[in-house]
Amino acid sequence: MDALLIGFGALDIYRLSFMLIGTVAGIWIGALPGLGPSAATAIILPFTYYMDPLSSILLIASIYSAAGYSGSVSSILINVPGEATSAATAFDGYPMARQGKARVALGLSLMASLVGALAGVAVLAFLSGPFITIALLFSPAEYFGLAVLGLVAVSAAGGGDVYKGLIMCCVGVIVSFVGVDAVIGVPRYTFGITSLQGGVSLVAVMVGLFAISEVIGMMLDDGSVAPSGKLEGSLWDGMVDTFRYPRVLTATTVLGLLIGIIPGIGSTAGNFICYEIARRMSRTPELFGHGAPEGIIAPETSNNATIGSSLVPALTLGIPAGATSAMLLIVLTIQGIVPGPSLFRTQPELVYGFYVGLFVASIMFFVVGAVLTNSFALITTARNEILAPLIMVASLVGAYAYQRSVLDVFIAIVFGFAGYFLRRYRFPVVGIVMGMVLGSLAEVSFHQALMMAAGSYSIFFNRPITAMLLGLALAIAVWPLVRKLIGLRRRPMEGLAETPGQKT
Amino acid sequence: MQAGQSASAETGPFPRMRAGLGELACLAALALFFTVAIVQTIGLRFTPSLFPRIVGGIGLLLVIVVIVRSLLARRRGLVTKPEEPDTFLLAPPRKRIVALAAPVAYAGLFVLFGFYASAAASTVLTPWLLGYRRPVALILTGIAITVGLDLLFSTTLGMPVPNGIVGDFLLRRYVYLD
Repeated sequence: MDALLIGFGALDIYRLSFMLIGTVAGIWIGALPGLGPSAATAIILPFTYYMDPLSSILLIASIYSAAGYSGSVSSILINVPGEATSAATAFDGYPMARQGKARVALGLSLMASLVGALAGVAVLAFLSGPFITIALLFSPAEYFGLAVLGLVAVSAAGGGDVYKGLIMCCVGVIVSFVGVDAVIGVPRYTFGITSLQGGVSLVAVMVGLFAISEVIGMMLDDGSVAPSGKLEGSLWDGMVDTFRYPRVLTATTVLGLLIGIIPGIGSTAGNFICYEIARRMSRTPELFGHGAPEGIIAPETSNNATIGSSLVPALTLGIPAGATSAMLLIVLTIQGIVPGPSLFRTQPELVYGFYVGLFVASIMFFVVGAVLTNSFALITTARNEILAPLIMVASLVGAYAYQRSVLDVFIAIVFGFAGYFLRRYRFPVVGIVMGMVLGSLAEVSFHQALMMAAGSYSIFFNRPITAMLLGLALAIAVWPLVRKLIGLRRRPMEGLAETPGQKT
Repeated sequence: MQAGQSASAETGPFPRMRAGLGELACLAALALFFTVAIVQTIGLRFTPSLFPRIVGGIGLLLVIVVIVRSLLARRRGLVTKPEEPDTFLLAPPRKRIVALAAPVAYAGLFVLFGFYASAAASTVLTPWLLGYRRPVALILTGIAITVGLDLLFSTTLGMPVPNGIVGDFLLRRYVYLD
C-alpha cells in the first residue's frame, strides 16, 4: 500500500501530460505499416535526453504500450503488421475486416490488449520475486529449446501445412545469419556487400512480406479491403465479445506473462504460441484463419501481458527480456541509473511511480484507442486502386526511415515479390519473420549449450526442461501427421481424397 | 482447395497443370536458396558454419519431402491451387504488369529522384494506370500523401527523407553552389 501511495505521489500533471503525448504518438506511429512499437520507441528515444528519469521511462512505457496495441490496427485493417509482435493478429483480424467486421476486430484487440496490459502490470508489481527464481533456472539449452518450440509453434499456427511452415522458418533463420555471426564475429552471407554486415533489417523484410505483397494483391483486385464496402458491428461489440472466451483470455494472459518474463524469447514467439494454444482450445478450430475472435484475443492478450512482465528481469536484474525492456534499460543508462535490487531501495518513487504509471498508461491507450480506432476502420472501405499505392509509398518510406538505408527499400521489394508468390501457394510467410527473430537466439544458445556440455549433444536431452520443450516442439510438428494417419485408418476413403498441402 | 475436396471438383479459371507447376517452381526456388545457403558456408570455420548447415540441411530436406509429396499428389491428380479466386491470373495483363512494376519503379525513382518525386508519381500514376480516372482526386491525394509523409518523417520525427542521386546533385549544383 505504501508503495502504491509512493507511486501515485510521483505522478504529477507534468508526467501525466508526457504519458498522454506518448500514448497519442504511440497509437499514431504504431498504426503505420512497418513502424511498430520498437520503431516508435526508437524514434522518440532522443527526446528523453532532456527529461527527468521517471518522466522519460513513463514516456517510453506509454509509447510502447500504445504502439503495441495500434500495431494490430494495420494488421487487422490492411494485413500489414506494424511489427512482428502484431503478425499473429493478422491471421484472423484481416479476414474479419474483409467480412466488414473491422470495428468488431478492433474492439476485440483493444479489450484483449487492456486485459493483457493490466495483468502485465499486476505481475510486474506483485510477482517479481517468484518469477525471477524460475527464470534463473534457464540455461542456454533451455533457451534453445524455447526458440525451437517457438519456430515449430508458428509453423503449426496458421493451421496449414506444417512442413511448409517449417520451410519458411528455416528461410527466416538463414536470413538472420546474414551479417557478422553472433558467436565469433565472422561475416556470413554478405556477398561482398558492406551494408549487409549489419544484417538484413527485420523491418524491411516485414514491410516486404506483409505490406508489398499485400499491395500487389490489392492492385490486382478491384474493390476495397472490405469487399461489401460496408462496416458491420461496432467497437463495443468487439469489446463485449472478448469476455465470451474466458478460457482463452485467462490461458493466454498467464502464458504471455510467463513467456514475457523469460529473457530473450520476446512477445512475438509468445503470441504465436498463444495463437496455437487458442486454436487447440477452441471448439471451432476450423474458423481460425477465417476470422475467429479467439485468433485476435490470444495474440493481443499475450502481446500486452508480455510487455509488462518482460520488465521484471530488466528492473530487478538488469537483464532485458525483450525489445521493450531493452529500450527501458537504454533510457535508464542515459539517465545514469543502474537497474538492480539497489534501485528498489534507493529510488522507490522511481520504481513504484513507474508501476503506477504503467497502469495509467494502459487505461490511457484504451481510452485514446477507443476514440481513434473507429475512424481507422473506415480505411477498409477505400478503393484498392487508391489505397494500394498509398500503402506502398508509406511502407517503403518506413522501411527506408528505420535505418536510412536505400538497400532496405530493395530488400522490402524482393521480399514483397517472394511473399506474394509464396502466399499464393499457401506458404505461411510469417515463419520467415519468426525465423529471423529467433534465429540468432537459437544459434547463440545452441553453441553456448554445447560449450557447457563440452561439445556433447546429450545436453539437449538430459536436462528435463530442455527435453520437455524439445519434446513439445516435436509433438506439435508430428501431431498433424499422426492425426492424419489415425484419420486414414478410420476413414480411408476420406483420407485419400484429401489434398496434400492443404489445411488439416 | 479445402481438405477433403476431391480432385474432380478442381476446376477453375486456370489450368490445373499450371497451378501445380507454380507450386513446384516455388519449391525449386526454395531448394536453390537452401543449396546456396549450404554452399556459402564452405570455407567458413566450424562454429559459424555449423548451425547454417544444420538449418540449411533441414530446409532442403523438407523441400525435397514436399516436392516428392507434391509430385505423388500430381500423379493422383491432386495439386495445390493458389487462393480462389486467383486474382493474379484473373486480372487483365495491364494490371498484372502495373502490380509487378510499380514497386520496382517506385524504388528506382526513390533512389534517383528522392522521396518527393517518387511518392508524388506513384500516388498519382499508379491508380491512373490501374484504371482510376479521377485526375483531380488523384492529384489532391498525391499532394496530401507526399506532404503528409514529409511532415511526419522530416518535421515531426526529425528523419529527413532522401532527395535522391539527381536531387542531391541538383541541390549541390544550384542551391548550395558547391
